[in-house]
Amino acid sequence: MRAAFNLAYWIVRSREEAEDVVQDAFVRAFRGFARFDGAAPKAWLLTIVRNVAYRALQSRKRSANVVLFSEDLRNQEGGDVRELPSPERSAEALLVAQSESHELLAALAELPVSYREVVVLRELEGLSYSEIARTVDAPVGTVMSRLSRGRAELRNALARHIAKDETDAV
Amino acid sequence: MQCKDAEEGLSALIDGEGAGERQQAAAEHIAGCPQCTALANDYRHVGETLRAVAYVPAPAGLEAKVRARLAVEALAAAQAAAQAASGRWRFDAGRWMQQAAALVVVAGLAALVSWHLTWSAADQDRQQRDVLAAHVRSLLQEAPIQVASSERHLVRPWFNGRVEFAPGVKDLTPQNFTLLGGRVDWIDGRRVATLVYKRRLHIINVFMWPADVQADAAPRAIGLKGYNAISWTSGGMVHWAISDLNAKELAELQALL
Repeated sequence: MRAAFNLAYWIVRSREEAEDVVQDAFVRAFRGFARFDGAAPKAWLLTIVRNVAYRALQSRKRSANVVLFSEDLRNQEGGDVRELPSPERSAEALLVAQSESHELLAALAELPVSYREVVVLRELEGLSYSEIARTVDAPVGTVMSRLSRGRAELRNALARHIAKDETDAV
Repeated sequence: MQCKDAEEGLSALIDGEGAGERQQAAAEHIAGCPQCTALANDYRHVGETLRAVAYVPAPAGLEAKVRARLAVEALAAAQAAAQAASGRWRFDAGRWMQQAAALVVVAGLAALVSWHLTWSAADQDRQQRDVLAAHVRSLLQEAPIQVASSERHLVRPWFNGRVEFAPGVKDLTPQNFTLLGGRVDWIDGRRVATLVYKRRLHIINVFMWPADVQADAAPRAIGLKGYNAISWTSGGMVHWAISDLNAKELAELQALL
């Protein structure tokens, strides 16, 4: 229940809608229980939660935030030559920022949903790459690159935040 | 290797995932590169902070709402099944089918809820959880037995090639535990042999697999969401017996095995 709600929330970003999503997902799980193969029950349920949440997103026409899976994601991601974020700020500098948790939550909320869900499944639910791949119906390679990009975005958001703080202080 | 090429390897390294030459090369690069090492620390810090602040707790009333929805669903399914049954069966058979269908649905609902509660308890032992899940699944399936035979000389060879050990199969019919047959299950990340016994109307699943540690372990009885279970290790094999049979009779079976 915890995991289902957390994932639903981070996909639809609304508590009320996440509640509806979890209820619908459990009903679907109940109907489909006979077809459940018994492997990785958590990933199985989260797959259903995710699918219901995506449907909720689409019916809300928030499609601007949704990366369509019909696009060739690998190509899109692979073709994008990105600079590695320059890690000149130390971890210690990151640690001292007071309001960094707010910054981090905002940055997570701003990530495209296909990156956000992967980060949530890994960092908050501790799913393995192969479980995540099954849940989001994408190859493991895609999961890796999305996770990597998502982490980079979050880290950069924190770094920017700290840079701003320091400028303010001066 | 350049930092850019190691980028994905960095995530995999943090998560303890990935293998192969490429991953190895990335790991070597990261270890020798202060920038990448700092980045890895930053990523770990991001993860720790997320775990500390980003988990959104479920509202208090949600579980009750889910249960209510499932109860409605179960009722609808039971009625649909009963209607379908009464159309095809006449006389008492229709009634019987109706009750049976309702029972199956209620059992399914209970199973789903208990199964869910089981996995959501983060500290629950994985083995217990898998044993319970395998038992409940076997009760939900129409055919909980892959080799149906009360003849132990048929059941034992059936496991050849299906599991990588030879399970001990005992016919306990004289002691009123009828051997129904065997099955292969998946518990704790391995294939295990399952023997199915029956006493009166109670199905008993006995799971067994080779122990990692050779030392014997005394029988330990526990309750798992209303089912009784006993686990023990003997002769280098881990055993789990689980059933809705009462704990005393289950212990009898354990002693016989």
